[in-house]
Amino acid sequence: MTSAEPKHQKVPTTPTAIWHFVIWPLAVTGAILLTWSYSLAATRQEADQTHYAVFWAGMLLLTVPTIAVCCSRQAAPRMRLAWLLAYGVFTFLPKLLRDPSTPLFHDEVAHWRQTVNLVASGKPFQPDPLIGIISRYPGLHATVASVSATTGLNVWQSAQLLLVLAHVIALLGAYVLGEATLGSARAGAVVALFYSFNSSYLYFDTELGYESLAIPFFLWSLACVAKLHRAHDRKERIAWAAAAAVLGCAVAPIHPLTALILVLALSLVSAATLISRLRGNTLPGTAAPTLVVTGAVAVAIVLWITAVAPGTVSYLSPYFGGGIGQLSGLFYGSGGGRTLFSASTEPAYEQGAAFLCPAITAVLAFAAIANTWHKRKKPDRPRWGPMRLGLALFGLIYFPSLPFILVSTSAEGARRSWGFTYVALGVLITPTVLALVDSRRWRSIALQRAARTAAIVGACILLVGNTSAGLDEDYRFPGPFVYGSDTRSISTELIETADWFDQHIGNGELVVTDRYTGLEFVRDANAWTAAPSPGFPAYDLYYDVGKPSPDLIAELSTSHYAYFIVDRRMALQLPAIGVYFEPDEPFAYASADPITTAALTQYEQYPWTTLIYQSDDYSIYRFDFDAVGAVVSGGPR
Amino acid sequence: MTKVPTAPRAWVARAVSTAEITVPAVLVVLAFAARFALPGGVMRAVFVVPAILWVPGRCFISRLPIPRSMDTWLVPLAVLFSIAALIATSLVVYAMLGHVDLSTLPLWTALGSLLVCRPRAESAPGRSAFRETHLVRFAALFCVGTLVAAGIVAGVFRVLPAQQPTGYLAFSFAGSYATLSGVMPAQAGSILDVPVAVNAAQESLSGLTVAVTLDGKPDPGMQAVAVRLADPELGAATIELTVPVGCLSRFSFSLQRHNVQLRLLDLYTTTDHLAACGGH
Repeated sequence: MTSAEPKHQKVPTTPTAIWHFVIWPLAVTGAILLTWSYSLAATRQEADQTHYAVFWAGMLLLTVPTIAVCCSRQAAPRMRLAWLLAYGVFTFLPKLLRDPSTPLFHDEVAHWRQTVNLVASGKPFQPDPLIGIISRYPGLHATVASVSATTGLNVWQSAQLLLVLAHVIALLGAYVLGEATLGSARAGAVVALFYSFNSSYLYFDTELGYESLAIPFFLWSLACVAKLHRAHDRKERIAWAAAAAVLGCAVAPIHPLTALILVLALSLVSAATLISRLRGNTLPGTAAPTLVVTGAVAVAIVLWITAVAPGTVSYLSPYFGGGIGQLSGLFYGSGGGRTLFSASTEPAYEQGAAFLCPAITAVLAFAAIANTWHKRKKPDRPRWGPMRLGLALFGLIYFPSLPFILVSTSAEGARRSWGFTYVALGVLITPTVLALVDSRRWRSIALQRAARTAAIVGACILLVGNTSAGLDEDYRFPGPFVYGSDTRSISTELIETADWFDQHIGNGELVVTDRYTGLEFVRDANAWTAAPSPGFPAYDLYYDVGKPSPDLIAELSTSHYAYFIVDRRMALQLPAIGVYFEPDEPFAYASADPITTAALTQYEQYPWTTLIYQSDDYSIYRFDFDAVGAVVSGGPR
Repeated sequence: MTKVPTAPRAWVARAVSTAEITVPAVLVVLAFAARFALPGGVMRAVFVVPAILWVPGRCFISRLPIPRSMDTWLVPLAVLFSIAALIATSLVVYAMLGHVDLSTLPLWTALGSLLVCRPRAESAPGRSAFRETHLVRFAALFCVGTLVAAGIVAGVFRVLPAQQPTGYLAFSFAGSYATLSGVMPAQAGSILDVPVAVNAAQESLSGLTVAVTLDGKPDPGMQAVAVRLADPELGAATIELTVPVGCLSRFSFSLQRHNVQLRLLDLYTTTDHLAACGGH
């Protein structure tokens, strides 16, 4: 395996104390700027975008010197590590500062509720009101609940403690993977940084979600396989294989998507190892343990899905099948597409950076492959080990995933895949990046500086663009109330309404409500919200004027749904994310409001829906299905 | 490059070996003591977290012949193995007992893991002791720096202006009437004292009254009741009603100011079979 370091590399010099010290003032100043940006966003006028500039000033204040230190040939490994660690902790802040006190994102509420219920009941695998599948993957909930129950910290604090650990450990995992695959600490640091530019790193993989815990296992399992490939003796190979297998198998009860993607990545590495072994290009003794690790992880995951979580297949398949169907529909002009950034409020430079990201990675990946191809017959050709080859193939999956961002069914899945493929892309392109920075063609100091500056600017574009592509403004920044947003539909009125429900009605009640009201009721009142679907069209209560169908009433009655909550703005505004309930509802992403005021206020007239609470926008009704069809003595209403 | 001692002493090697077993053991003892002696919170977490998120993984790793050159990465690896151990033990215990007490199981897991703990194979004891000393010093300085930075940022977070809460006015039943199960069976002529509550933020509660109509018509016998203020954001009223004869009657409670309806509640009563009015 060849090293990614150029031959004229200088011996690392002793780190100066000043470089160690300067981390802290930069990190603190950057963090203060981040905090200020959130304050500006929360108190701004509607069209003001100053908070974006302040946010990126804060982020880049530590990111730019981290890139410079990690790419530097002079930096000692310990200094790179110190900067990388500080960067890892620092990049946890954007999500933490978004709301440090409570779960805010949609998936967070689901996982938080699941964990709170696990602490209270001592029973994993209990149904979840918001995301059914997470009950079959209790790894995150068991870990957070363990920390919470033993320390006495509340579930949210325990989760933050665990998540910051996972976030930093994931970055270190990418570092070790890069170092072991490319043979240099400097290359490892660059791989780690490149991984951190993926669209999930700042927000999605720092939320209280099962992927956030699964990612470090994914990266370290691959890192252990990479270490296996560099091991000096059989005992060491067995040690790394055992570590890789344990870490890989541990993903099975944590997160289905990470587990399946890990099997894919390991399979590609195994195939590359096997081919390399057959050609005699690999050290003897690496192929068998690699295959054993892949087999063990695959078996563990198949067993888990078969025995514990059979619903995984039906949960994931629409994203794959639907995406391909919609993409072919888009290709043949039959619709199904979406316009990127169509309703975005993000500034133009962020959107521009988002479009540049695939272009930058494509150019670098092409350069890496072309360089290797060009030198294939030269005696000093760069020889790719099977680990590097397998990871490169895995990283190239990023490019076929790009078209899926254009269709609504698979856009989120495509974006989420980048959180995995980016580390492998980093392994593919890092030698090219370092070769460009170190090239002897830059004869003057000015040219060398220009090359380094270009590398840093490119890295910043990747960070800004991918973050922008990953989440919309409502998730990233606080701000004025937005109807139909998971994070910005929360108001004092809604919180007080859910509190009233919790105090007067109690928790654990089954309610019918919309997605945004439901999130708060799940969080504050431990309510069980209905999950409308074509087979259980509870959304008809909102869409239709007149008595609901006997089948729906029978289902609501036999399922013991007791309360019906209406947000009267449903008849006045379209939801920001396009759906009132779930993406498969009949009028999802409609351009005109399908809900009328008459449809919502009709329940003030029916004896089977008793109005027990009313505020500015919310009404809570008590169902009494025995009174369906009844009319008051004073006359029909 | 930092200098590394070239002639390791035997006592250094022995000290490192002893510490590799005693440190996890001491951490587990401290965690048990903290779990049962300290109240829940940050102080208890300081003692408990290393035992549950590091010791099991550290002990597992001690059985693997991972080279000493990887010592820098043993902490993250140990944390991941510990998490895997926590997940595995909680699932196994749940499968066996149908219930898992997560307030103590992680500590028992850490204690059990001590059984497999042993000193790691020593390739160059002096070097490893030197490396571990530096690692601990580095980690300690990093933690102190992070805590100081976190303190400053938390202070700034509190000082900077945040989003202003918006106002609202809520009207609801109170007491047992909040948990009505729908149409209320009652004796004809019986008196009902119905409590209602008004909650508000940034809204004035002065001058509010509750008016009642029966089957959509004002009842001359029922006067509007003034809302009493318990505090500036909380008001209450109790309305006395006489239940009329009928298979289904509707009382409507209107929260008003200057005869303008602000909010509405409903109460349905029946003194007969609901079926007589079309119900079940």
